[in-house]
Amino acid sequence: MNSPFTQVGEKVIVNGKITDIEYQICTRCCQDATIPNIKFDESGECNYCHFHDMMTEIFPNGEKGKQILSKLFAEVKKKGKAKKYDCVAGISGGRDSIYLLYFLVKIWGLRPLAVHFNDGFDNPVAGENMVNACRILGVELRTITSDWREAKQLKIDFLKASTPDLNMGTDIGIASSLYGVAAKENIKYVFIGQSFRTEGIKPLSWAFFDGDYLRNVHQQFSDLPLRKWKPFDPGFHLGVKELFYYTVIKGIYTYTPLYYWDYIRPEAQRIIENELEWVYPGAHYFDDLYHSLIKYVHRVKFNIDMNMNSDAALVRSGFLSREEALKRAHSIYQIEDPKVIDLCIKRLGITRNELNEWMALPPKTFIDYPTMYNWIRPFRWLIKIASHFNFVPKVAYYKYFVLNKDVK
Amino acid sequence: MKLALGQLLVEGGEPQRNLERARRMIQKAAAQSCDIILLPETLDFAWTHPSALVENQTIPGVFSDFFCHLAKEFKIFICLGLSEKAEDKNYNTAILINTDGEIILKHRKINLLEVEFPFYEVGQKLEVVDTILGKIGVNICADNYGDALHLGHALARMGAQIILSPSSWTVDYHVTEIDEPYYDKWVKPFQLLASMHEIIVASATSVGYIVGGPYEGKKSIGKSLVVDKNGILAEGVFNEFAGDLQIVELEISKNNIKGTQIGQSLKKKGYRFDL
Repeated sequence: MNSPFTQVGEKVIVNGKITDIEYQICTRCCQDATIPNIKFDESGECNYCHFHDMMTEIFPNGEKGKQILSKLFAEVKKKGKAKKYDCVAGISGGRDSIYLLYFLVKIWGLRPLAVHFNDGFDNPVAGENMVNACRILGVELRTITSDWREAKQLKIDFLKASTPDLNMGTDIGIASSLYGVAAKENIKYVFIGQSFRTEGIKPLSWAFFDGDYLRNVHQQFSDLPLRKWKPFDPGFHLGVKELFYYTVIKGIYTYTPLYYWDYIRPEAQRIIENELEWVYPGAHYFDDLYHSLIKYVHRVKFNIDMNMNSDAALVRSGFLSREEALKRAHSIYQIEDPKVIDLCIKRLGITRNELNEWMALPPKTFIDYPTMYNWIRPFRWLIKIASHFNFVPKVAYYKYFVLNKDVK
Repeated sequence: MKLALGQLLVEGGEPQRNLERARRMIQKAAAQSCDIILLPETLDFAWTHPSALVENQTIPGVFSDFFCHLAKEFKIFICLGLSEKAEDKNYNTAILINTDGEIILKHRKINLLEVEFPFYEVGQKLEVVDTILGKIGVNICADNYGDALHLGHALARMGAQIILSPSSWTVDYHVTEIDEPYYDKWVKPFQLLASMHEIIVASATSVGYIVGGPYEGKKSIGKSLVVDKNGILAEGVFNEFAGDLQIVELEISKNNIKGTQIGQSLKKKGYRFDL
C-alpha cells in the first residue's frame, strides 16, 4: 500500500490538513484514517461499514428488492399511462447509467426519456455510448447543455474556494436538468443509476451537494451573474427553494432503483457491451474528462482517495478482495493523465501557474462557506424525530448528522 | 458517387485529438467503399478557437499533409476545413484532396462573420475543379448564407455539379433535440441553390461544445445536410457530443447548360431577374 502520510512523519492528512489522528485501517473494508470522520469500533470495523449494513437493510436486494421494484414500477407505469414517457433516466455514458437505461427498458418495460447534462467535459467515448444505447433501445435522448461561460467560471470558483467539491457545478447541473426536464414534460419519476453497494458512501466534506453552497461560492469568487432560474431551464440553481418547487409543488420523486437490484458490475458491463455497443471509457468516472484534474487536485492537495472509498464498497459487497483494495489504495489512478490534465487547464482558459497558486491555498471544506447545512444543523434533533416517523429518510439523517457528526 | 458525410466531434484547441478522430472516420468511410468524404470546417482547432491564432499551420503543412497521406492510403477524396497560416495572415480554409494525395482545390472563406474578423482574413477567389467524380465546387459554411448565396450561384455558373461545404454550424446552448434550428438558415438556401441549378449541395458540420473564443455559450449539434433539386437527400443526427457518418449515394446531374443558357433556363422555370 502507498503510504498517505510519508511527507509529514506519522501524521495523518485529512482533507489536506495535518491531524493528530492515529493511523488505522478498517479491518473489514479498506478505508483508513484519511477518510474524514471515520471511527473504528472495538473490532476495528469502521462506521462507514456500519452505515453500509444499515443501508442494506433499508434497501434490500434479492427477492425482497425485486418486490419493491415491481411495486414501484407498476405505479410508475400507471402514472405514465396517458403520457409519452413514464420517467426520466439520467445518463452520462458510463457503465452504471447505461445499464440503468437497459434495466428500465429491457427488464422492466418502462418508457424513459434519457436526459444528459453536457457541461463541456464529456468524454467522446461516453458520448458515443449514449447515442448508441438510445438508438438501440429506441429511447429519446434530451441533452441539456450548460452555458460554457457559467460552467467554466464555476469550475474556477471552486478551485479558488479551495474545497474538494471541484465538480459542484456539474453535480448541481445534472440534478437540476433532470428536474427541469421532468417538470417540463410533466414526468413524476426521475431515476439515477447509482448503487451504494458499488459506489460507496462519500464523506460529506467530499461530496456536499447544495445549490445554495454553489451560489454563495460563486458570489464570493466571481462577478459573472448566473442566469436566473426558470422552472424548465433551471441552469445551476438547485437550492432549497428550487428543490421545494420540484419535489413538493411538482411532486417529482427521485429514486436509485439499482439500490434494490443485484447489481453486479462485470455482468452489467458484459450485457451493455454485447447489446448496446457500449465501450469502456478507460476508467471509472472517466465519462467526464474533468475527473483527471479532480483526481490530481484531490490526491496532491487534499490527500483524498475517492477510489479507496468506492473500493471499500466493493469489498463490503464481495466484489473485490480486501488485499487487492489495500494494494491500490492511495496509488495514482490511471485517469490522472498529464495530457488530459493539460486539456482541462487549456479548456478552462487558465494557466498552470494559476492552478498551482490555487493548489497552494489553505485547504477548506464546505463548512467554511454559508450553506444549507449551517442552518439545518441546529434542528438535527427535530430531523431525528422526523426520520423516526419517516417524514425524512433515515439514511439522510444518519449521513448528515451521525456519520458526519463532527464534520470540519 | 458515394459520399461520406463526416459529422465530426471537434474539441476546441485539441488538434491531435481531432485529427485522430478524423482519421478513424476516413478509414471507416473507405471501408464502406466511399469515393469521397466531406468533413467539417476548421476541424483542427475548432472554429474561432483562440489557439488557432498561434498554433495554426500552413497549407501545405503538417495538418494538410496528414490528410493527403490518408487520401492516398485509403484511395478516397477528402474535403475538409483547416485553419491556415499564410505568411502574416490567417485564413479559414477548405481543401479538396484527390486519391493521389494531392490538394486539387483550396478555398478561403469569403463570407466571414464579424466575430471571425480577428481570426481570419477574407478569401479572394472561388474555384471549381474537374475530377473523375464530376465538377466540384467548394465553399465554407456562411458562404451559403441566404444573403450570400451569390457565391454558390457563382460556383454553379462555373459548372459545379456538386458544392461541398465544410461547416461549423452553431446554435445557442439551450437548443435541444426537440427544436428545429436550421430550416430557414440552411435548408432553405441549400434547396434554392440545388433546385435552381440542378446541383447537389452538401455540408458536413462539426459537433461539440464551444470552449474558447467569441462563441462561448453556443454549441454545434450536427444535422449535416445533403440536398438536391428534389429536397433533402441525407441529414446527420442531432448530437453535440459524438460523431456520425452517413453514407449517401449521389447521382450527379448531367445538365450541360452553361453561360447565358443558365439565365435563359432559369427564366423558363419562372425565376425573375429584376434589376
